[in-house]
Amino acid sequence: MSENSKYRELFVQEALEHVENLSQNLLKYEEDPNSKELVDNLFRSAHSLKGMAATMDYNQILEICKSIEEIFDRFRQNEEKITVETGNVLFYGIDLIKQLVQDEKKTIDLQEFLNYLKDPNSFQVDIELRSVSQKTSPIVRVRMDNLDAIMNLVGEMMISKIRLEQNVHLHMSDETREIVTNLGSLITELQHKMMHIRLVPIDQMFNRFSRMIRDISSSLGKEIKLEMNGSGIELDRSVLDAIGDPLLHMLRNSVDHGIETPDVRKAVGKPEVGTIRLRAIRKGNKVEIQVTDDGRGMDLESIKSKAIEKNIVTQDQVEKMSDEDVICLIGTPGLSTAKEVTEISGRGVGMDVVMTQVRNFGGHVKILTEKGMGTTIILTMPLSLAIIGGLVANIGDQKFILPLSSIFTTLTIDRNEILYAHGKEMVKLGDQIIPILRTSAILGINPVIETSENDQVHIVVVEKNEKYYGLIVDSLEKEQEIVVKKIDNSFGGSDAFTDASILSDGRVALILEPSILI
Amino acid sequence: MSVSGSVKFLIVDDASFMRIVLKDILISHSLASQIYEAGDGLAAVETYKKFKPDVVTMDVNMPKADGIQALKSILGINPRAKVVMVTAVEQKHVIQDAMKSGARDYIIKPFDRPNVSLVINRVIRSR
Repeated sequence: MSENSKYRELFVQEALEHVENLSQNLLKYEEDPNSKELVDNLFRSAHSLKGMAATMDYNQILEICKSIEEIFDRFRQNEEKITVETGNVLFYGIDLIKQLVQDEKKTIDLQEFLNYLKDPNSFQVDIELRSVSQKTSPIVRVRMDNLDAIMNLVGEMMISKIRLEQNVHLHMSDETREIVTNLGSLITELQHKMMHIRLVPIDQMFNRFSRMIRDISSSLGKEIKLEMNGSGIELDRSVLDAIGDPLLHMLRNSVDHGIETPDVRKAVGKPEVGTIRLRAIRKGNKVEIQVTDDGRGMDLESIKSKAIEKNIVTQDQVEKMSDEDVICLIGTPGLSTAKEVTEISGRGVGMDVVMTQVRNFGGHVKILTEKGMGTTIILTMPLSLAIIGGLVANIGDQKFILPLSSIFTTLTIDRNEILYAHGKEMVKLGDQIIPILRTSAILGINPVIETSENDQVHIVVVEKNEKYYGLIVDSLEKEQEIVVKKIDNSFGGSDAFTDASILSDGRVALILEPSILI
Repeated sequence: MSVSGSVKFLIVDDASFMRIVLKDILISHSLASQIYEAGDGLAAVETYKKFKPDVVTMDVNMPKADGIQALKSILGINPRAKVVMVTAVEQKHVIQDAMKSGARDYIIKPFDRPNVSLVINRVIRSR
């Protein structure tokens, strides 16, 4: 048991995700019992949870998962169809799992559950309760700052709970421990509910754009069809606000400089009506927003001459650049000013502003363009800014949080695997050799003294402008959900830090956006 | 018993919890010098292509491509790839399928630490 206790927190976090997934998808599956995808998903969740419970020696969870996994397998093989009664028992089982996950000391009547599963008709559910919960509830409008205030309070509660735990840690009775654990899971649940409240469908924002596109295109004598697909994705309100302006800018660029006038399009054999496609795709805990037009593409030559004119690069450098490198120039501050946007015939101006804003919110911009064929700009953003996935890194005696959305991968290597080239430290990453940087030196922190030659080196690999960089940290802790708190920067702190969070030991840690260090 | 040198691992499992448990075992037995991770079958194949790890541990039940599909894709890239399947106790038929498809060995969840170390050592040394 003691061997496993260090995994407890991680287990609870991931197990609750599976519980949530099971109950949501079971609801959907009841309505759509022919969906192979849903039943596969249910089976997989039960199966994963079973493996996790077995690893933790949680036998009650293991047994429930095993029994419901078998039922899902029978559904999957079409040996049995889901009925309302079986559904009731399955929901009951999922509730039991949830209780057992939250309280490791709880015992349940396992045999009773297994009997219900064998004979679902013998199980009495509080029918009234379920039929009420399935109705759509009325909607109330709430001011965003009120939500923010509650979110903050939830964060404060979490900190108080941690302090309470530490204060009573030494002389905690079993009962106190149980109450504190229960309090912790209640706060976590509250936090999740709060996050959910802050979600807004992305289509709501997309719809705002159609009128604008119509107006601008008609004033320019262009015909443009806007195709939008938000795929039902919901984003945290703060993310939506953060990408509103950049998206607007990108769309205007497409209308203004990308799509040609109908006569030009006709002359080059394209349909007279241009198309701009706006699409959102969910990728894990990120959302990818693509803006694609079938216009003339970016004029790389004019970007090159502009960059030379502005002394950003020299003629020699430009000649050695690949097309991708030239596209990256668009992100260089100072390449253009907003005033020139409408004066220049080529595209890709003002993009540095877009890129900077997106990066400030932990996002990432990728541009694909082909002359004569059009341009695609891909914005990748975290789903939520209020709560992010983060990796806690120790640098010297300090702890920093690195957002998972900024990390490509992590490496642990032996110290003697560090390579040296031109006086710089490098490391092998697959087929590539990438530069590594000593984060402690950049931040001016004394690193932990390197004791033996055989020491392992921990490296966080981040991507910037399509290139990989390694950041050396002293050690890495586990991934966790981080509640982001804005720092009041009026005391003139560094630009690298605008956010902080409170760790589970109650310490404040700064959130470090790695791309700023490179 | 431990194998020193630089052995690169790729751990494939959709549960980050299981990845961390397995990673801890590999590290505490000094089996790995570099560890990459992937959370589904498609990511596993992509990561394999990119980093050519020496040993892959592959969970069977995963979203997108499942472990068997990913195993086949990886063997398509490198027929000599060393892939160790990770399965639950009762999935005997899956293990048989995987071994027929070219998996080198298998380990069973929940992990028995000495056994995991034994199997991994055997696979690292195999040709």
